[in-house]
Amino acid sequence: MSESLLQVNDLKTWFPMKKGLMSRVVGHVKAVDGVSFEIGAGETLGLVGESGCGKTTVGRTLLRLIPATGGTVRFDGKNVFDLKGDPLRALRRDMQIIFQDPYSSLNPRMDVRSIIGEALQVHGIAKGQELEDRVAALMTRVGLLAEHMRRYPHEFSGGQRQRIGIARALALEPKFIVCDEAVSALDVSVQAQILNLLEDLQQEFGISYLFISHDLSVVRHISDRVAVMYLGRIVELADVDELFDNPSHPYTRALLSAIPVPRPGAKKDRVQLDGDVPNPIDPPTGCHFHPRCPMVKAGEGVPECSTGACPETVTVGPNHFAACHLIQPGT
Amino acid sequence: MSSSSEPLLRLENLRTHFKMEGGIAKAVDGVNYSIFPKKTLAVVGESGCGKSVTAMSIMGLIPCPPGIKAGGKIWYRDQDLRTYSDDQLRKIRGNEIAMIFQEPMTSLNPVYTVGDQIGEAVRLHQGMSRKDAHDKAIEMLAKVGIPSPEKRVDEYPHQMSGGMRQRVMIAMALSCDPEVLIADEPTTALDVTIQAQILDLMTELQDTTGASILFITHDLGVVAEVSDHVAVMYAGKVVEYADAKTLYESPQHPYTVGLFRSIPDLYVRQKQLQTIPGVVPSPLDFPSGCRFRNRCPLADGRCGQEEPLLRNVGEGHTVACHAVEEGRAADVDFSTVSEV
Repeated sequence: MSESLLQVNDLKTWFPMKKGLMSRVVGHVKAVDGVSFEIGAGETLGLVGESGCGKTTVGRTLLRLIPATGGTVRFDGKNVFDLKGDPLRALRRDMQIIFQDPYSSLNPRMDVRSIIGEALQVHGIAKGQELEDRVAALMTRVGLLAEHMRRYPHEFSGGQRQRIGIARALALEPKFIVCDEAVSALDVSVQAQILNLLEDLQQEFGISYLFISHDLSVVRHISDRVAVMYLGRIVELADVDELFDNPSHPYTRALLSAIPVPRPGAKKDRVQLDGDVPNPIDPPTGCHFHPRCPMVKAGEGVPECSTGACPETVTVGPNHFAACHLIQPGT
Repeated sequence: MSSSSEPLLRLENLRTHFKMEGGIAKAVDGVNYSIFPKKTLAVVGESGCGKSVTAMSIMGLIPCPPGIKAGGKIWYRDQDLRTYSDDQLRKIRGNEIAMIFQEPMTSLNPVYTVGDQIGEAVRLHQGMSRKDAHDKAIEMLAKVGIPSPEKRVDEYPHQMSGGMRQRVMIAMALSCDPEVLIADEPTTALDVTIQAQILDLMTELQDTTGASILFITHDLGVVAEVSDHVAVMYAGKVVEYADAKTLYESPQHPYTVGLFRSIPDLYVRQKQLQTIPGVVPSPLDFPSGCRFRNRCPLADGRCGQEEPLLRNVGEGHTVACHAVEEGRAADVDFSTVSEV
């Protein structure tokens, strides 16, 4: 693997729950609870999981959009959580985000030139005619017409708006972009256009992506490696083909088998998961997944599953890690 | 049509337009499809293609104005629902034809218990007493797999998760034992593991109740899993109709072909996804002739002038495309279309 650009170690993001007149803190929602991974230069790490598993919080905590409770994030050799003032501003140029909803993430009162050019202006990189030229070049690069610069977001379709969001993220020539459900709101034919664009940009500029999505076919398509999250923790992490062809965690297996395949009659043996994702305010003891785990249901569980500690992450194979009491470490 | 039985519900050239500031939006503009007893018809298409407006039209839920009933017929048991009065429709709606909406969060009333909401339909249509309706609600909740139904029946929607709420919606829709169940993107807002539960539940309930299902979705994976027949819609029209197997194995319309190519495959990793260039046209301003022609690599002069009609290309397989009709649709290469 290439030299890692981003190293996340034991990241924790807890949200306090307050109660009563004095806003006494009565507990924490452990949205992210001990997450570790690395992303290399020019690499795409897919981060998948169901709603409420904490995948979006991971992305936002890395960028310091939400304060972290614990752990470290090193980016390009610098400790992200220690930076202040100018070094932090410089870091922000290198780390960008593309949001899910192209409707609510663009200010309706700003024209496209201001939306894309704002960061260039704020960081004092360009102004006046130069700014306009840079914005025009960015718009052309993401497949928009530069003469539409004076238009407002409502004049564009969903796919075009997502292109505006991408141009905005690219403006500062970042090394790393968090794509938070960046194609989820789009129709399939448009989604394919945006995925191709993201891949082209990666080739051209060597950008690394953290690609957060609940859509596993999209993640399979775009990622080099994939991490699966469940209730604030990563339960499995592996190279993309390994994860999809040879999943080892029972949750990953259930998740993969739940995806409908666009082939009629291709009924697979579905690993049915009962119930919903538990409430992160009060997660189950032991392994967070045990109340829904098909292996525990089948009587293959061990006492640690329900009463023991949280399972440690073990190496299952080359570049393949999983956290489950029932998985024996491999080589 | 391939099925031996008569269709239960048949749309004939259905048109629903909307009066808008910029002109007339032809959201549904000549839709034909049939739903057969105990079968599932999936209607697929991208946002704005008119699939939901078609469903709302069947239910008579389009407010006019701004809606305009621009023509066509909705045949249900030899009756045209379009000619029904509001009172007549009210007897059918929720009773013989029921609907499940996409958003289980917004389509349940937050100030009534789920039991009240499930019971409402049976009290209204079958004149059940409050007590019986409450029992019926418990029975329905049990049927859709909600644990301890006698407790949950008195809960409010906000006390339930998204998957649970969707089960409540299904319980509500099925409480009067409808002939036709219209499901408009019923699993789109749900996580895949919950989606799998709901899809299995719907298939199971169809086996026991024998209801026909009109399943509206944009997810071609879901379509493959649930449907017997598929209608592909584009810009207010059905462009292709076939049984599910035929459609997936040999799609004919260039739009259908393009749609399939643009889904990332879970098992085979492609280098680059193939895309359909351009965007869906605005319903205020559809192109003349074939509405797909601006994005179609096979378009020629005739496509600009003459609107293609649905024609048989095989048993129960109809396609609306001049190129297919003329036999020059063997190879669809979208890279030749210049972006507009």
